[in-house]
Amino acid sequence: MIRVADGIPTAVVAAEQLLDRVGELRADGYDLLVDLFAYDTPEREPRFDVVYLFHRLADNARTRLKVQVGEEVAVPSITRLYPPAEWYEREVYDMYGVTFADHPDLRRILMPDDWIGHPLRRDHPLGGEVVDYGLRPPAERVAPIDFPEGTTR
Amino acid sequence: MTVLRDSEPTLPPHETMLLNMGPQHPSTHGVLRLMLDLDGEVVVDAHPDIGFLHTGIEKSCEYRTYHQAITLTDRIDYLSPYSNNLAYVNAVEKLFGISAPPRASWLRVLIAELHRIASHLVFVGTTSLDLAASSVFIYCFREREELLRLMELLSGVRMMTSFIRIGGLPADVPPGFLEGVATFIDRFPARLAEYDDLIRENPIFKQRMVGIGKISAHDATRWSLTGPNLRASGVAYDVRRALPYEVYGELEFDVITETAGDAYARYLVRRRELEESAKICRQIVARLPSGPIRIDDPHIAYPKRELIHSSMESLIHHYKLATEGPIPPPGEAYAAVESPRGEYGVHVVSNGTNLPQRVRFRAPSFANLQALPLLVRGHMVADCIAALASIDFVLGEIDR
Repeated sequence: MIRVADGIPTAVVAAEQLLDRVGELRADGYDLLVDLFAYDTPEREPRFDVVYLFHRLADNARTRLKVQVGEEVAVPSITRLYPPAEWYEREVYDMYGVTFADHPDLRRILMPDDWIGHPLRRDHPLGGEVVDYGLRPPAERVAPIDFPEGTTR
Repeated sequence: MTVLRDSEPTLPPHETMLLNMGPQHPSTHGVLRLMLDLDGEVVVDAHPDIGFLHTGIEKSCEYRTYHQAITLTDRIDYLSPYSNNLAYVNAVEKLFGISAPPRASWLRVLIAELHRIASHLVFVGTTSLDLAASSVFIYCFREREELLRLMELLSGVRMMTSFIRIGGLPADVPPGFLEGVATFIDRFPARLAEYDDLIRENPIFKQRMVGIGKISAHDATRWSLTGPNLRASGVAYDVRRALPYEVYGELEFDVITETAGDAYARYLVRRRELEESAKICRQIVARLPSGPIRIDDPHIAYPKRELIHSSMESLIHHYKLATEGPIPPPGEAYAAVESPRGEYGVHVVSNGTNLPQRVRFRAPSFANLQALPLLVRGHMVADCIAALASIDFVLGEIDR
């Protein structure tokens, strides 16, 4: 497992056990869902880490959970236990294409709805895409970008 | 960001009207689209639609060295850029296992608090402006201007100072800066009294703010609000006190709370925090220790400017750091600071190269804005403006 340099206790849990573990944290008095995000390690299988950070106001304790998934697995949504997860999970879906089961409204949040690909994936190009504003005649327009196989909308 | 018709929220069965507020509405303080379900003039529900300011800063950071990314962080919460700088640099310093020397640490806190004052002044000014009290805005920006001049003296830049480096500060403060801060702090209480005269007990202002956008302590924690929005509901959570960073543990200040949880309570929390920040600044100016302003590690922090001109090794180290950048060991670290809007956190994942694998910005406004529907349900459209303004969000950090 990757070195954790900030001293926050970190546990890796399987996707199917996530809801139980988060439920335990909720019962344990962890009030705030501080952060929920993902990162991508394409050379590893499964490639995504979804990271949850919780805070307990009573004693300012923090704890972190990690779920490692590929894009074919849906992570259970924790919106029922922590309502603010709704936007965070939408952002993870938008940026990485990780889906969340039982999410009330899973759609893009930051990117336009018709965007192709998930921009924070490591294999998504940084830029250089020519934006076609439709001003030039069709023959001169730039060919659509070739996205790598497996890139989902 | 929603552009297609088919993903619009469906109308509830009873007759309501969908009103589109924004994305170019002056009270949205940026580019926020708010879809309001209206029953007459009463707001039944609100659907914030964000993403219009998304500039991919997190993605850009993955293609910059750890030093270069500092200037990107300024642009996230542009009203208090120093909190962003500080959280990012603290996270990277945790990866390296280093911390800034005492003088740098004290100065970092000083600059962060000055930015907090500037940011809260913008809040007081623009909130009043949204409620059509335009003169307060002019007064608040007068003081903010003085702070921006101090920042210019410090770094040459008025807003996006980036006056921080991994392992310390780029330089010591210039002559006249601390005196300027002291003058500002001395004059500040009289200035605060002027705003209070204008709005604090003003019946029109109170009518627009008291009881508007109420959120209980239970709901505020349930929706993970942080910062003044949470403290206005009576929850005394402040990262500076709860998880002290830099030198906050040695400083004396109160965590301001109010209990009402409405727009006026949120205004009061920020208004009273102005005094606390001034108090912190005064302590720092009085107690600032002397010493180096950067750690002495040629693989992480830039060598002293004078040495670059006289020592070959320093020139080489400077060249290596400016081109290749510092290389932290693989690992990940999260660092949080109390920005004027709440807990601002940065999570950095290093894969052992000179470029970060992931830089995540936990923006307080993102969570705070999500609770907006709770604040405005049942209110009139005009009260939406007051509720929105009282959240004090910055779209730059919501969309990143």
